[in-house]
Amino acid sequence: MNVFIQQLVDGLGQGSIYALLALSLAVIFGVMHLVNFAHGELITISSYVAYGLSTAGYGWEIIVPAILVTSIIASMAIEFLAFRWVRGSDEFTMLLTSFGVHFVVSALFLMFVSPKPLNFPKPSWIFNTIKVFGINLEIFDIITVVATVVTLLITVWILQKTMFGITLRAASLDFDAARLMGVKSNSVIRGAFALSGALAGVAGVFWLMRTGTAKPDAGLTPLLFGVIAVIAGGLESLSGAVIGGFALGIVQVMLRGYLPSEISGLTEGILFVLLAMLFIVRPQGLVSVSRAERV
Amino acid sequence: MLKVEGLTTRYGSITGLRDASIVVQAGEIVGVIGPNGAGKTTLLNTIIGLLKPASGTISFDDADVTALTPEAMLRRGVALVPEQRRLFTELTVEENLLVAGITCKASDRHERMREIKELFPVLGERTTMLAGYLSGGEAQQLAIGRGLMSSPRLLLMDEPTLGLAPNLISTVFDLIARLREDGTTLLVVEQNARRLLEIADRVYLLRTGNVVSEATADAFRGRENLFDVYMGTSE
Repeated sequence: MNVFIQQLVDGLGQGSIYALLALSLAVIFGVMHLVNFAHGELITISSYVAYGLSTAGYGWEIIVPAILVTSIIASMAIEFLAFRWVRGSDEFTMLLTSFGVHFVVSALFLMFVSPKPLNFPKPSWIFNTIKVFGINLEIFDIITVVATVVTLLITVWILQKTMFGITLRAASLDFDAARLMGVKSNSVIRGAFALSGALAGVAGVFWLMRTGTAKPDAGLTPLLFGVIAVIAGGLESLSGAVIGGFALGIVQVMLRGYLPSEISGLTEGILFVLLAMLFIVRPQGLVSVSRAERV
Repeated sequence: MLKVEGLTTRYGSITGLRDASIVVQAGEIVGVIGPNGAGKTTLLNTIIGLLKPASGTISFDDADVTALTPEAMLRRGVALVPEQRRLFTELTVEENLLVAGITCKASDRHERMREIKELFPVLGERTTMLAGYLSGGEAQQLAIGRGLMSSPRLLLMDEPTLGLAPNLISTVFDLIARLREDGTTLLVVEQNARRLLEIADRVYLLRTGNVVSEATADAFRGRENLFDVYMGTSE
């Protein structure tokens, strides 16, 4: 039982990162109908900022806010430099644009910084454990989950209680109708990219604390899991994205923990089989948005 | 107040509106009638700025407003109640009104919302209900209420009675008449031509993207063969 609870908390910690990334992808999908494959670049760029600051002698108390600011600025810059020019184009064009941004950013770091992974020190407490009711839990997992819950609560408050959040939700439901009400498309899209960048920034902090590595494709793996989570949760549902993220993290850790060691290398493969089975049973993902209600 | 001259709008290779010209004077109710596919919705969507015209001009209060954004048109005093209402179904009634009041000063927004709820008491009773759960009549009241949030001087209405029960249709036409009495000018696209003629001052007839006829509502009412005129089997 103790092992199961340890695995569950570990899964929640891993799932927290996926949930934040999935939510940040869902925010952009809502207003632009874009699955943003350039989103991983926010973590890639942040990883080099973390490496640079660490090399210059700064600690995580500086690196954490720097990652958050970097992620927000990078997200808005990518929107300004790439996506605003294809806004209103078909979804395939925007998807190709996001791939383009991914390859350009990776190539820039590859050519002008280093093709090799650059390591920087992880926080000293990352592997510390704490005993709760006799069960050893990683402090890092607990902090990740708590920080994620706080971030999600702040996000819910923004979406439910502020004019920006209400207009963002309206634009996600019907962009043209929102424009008819006077919502400025520039403002709402820029705001969505800023919010999305902030969420990815929080995820990036915990991902980079765990990996401690800057490399040209540093954001690729978390992006892929974020995309899987948002698709599993239901692309059009913000709550579905969060649920998908947590579910993915828990299933992934449980598979790693409980699969016989001879086939533990198949964890990701089995994960995709489970995902395919989910879509056979629920093609709309875990949480569906009722089209019938839309007039 | 509103002058549209030689307006042509295309969807790719298809022309939705061809060289259309209409005029709306302050204080009028002007109707636009015509069969499905005549270009009525295209006309309103082009005026409000959702569609860009291929040619022609739109002026409002003698200023050129051709191809302004919907947000800019709202700030000038023109709002649209869109076809099929386009409510934000997963937002509450109050949130729908708040979004529609985004061009109001923040300090005026709640006061304006109170006025709308006075005009449509049912919206006051359903404040926290999701718009997707409103009945057809309630939803239409919310759609019109949203259109009024910005206190427009010219309100464009696209098929305001579409899908409503007969008793609710009368309520909507009464409301349109009341809005005019309160000083709002209205340009109304409507399939229900006979009912529209009862309240409109002038009517334009559109067919296959062209304005084929313009007359006072009295002149249209006097024509026994209205259906044939409407469908193009008689002029």
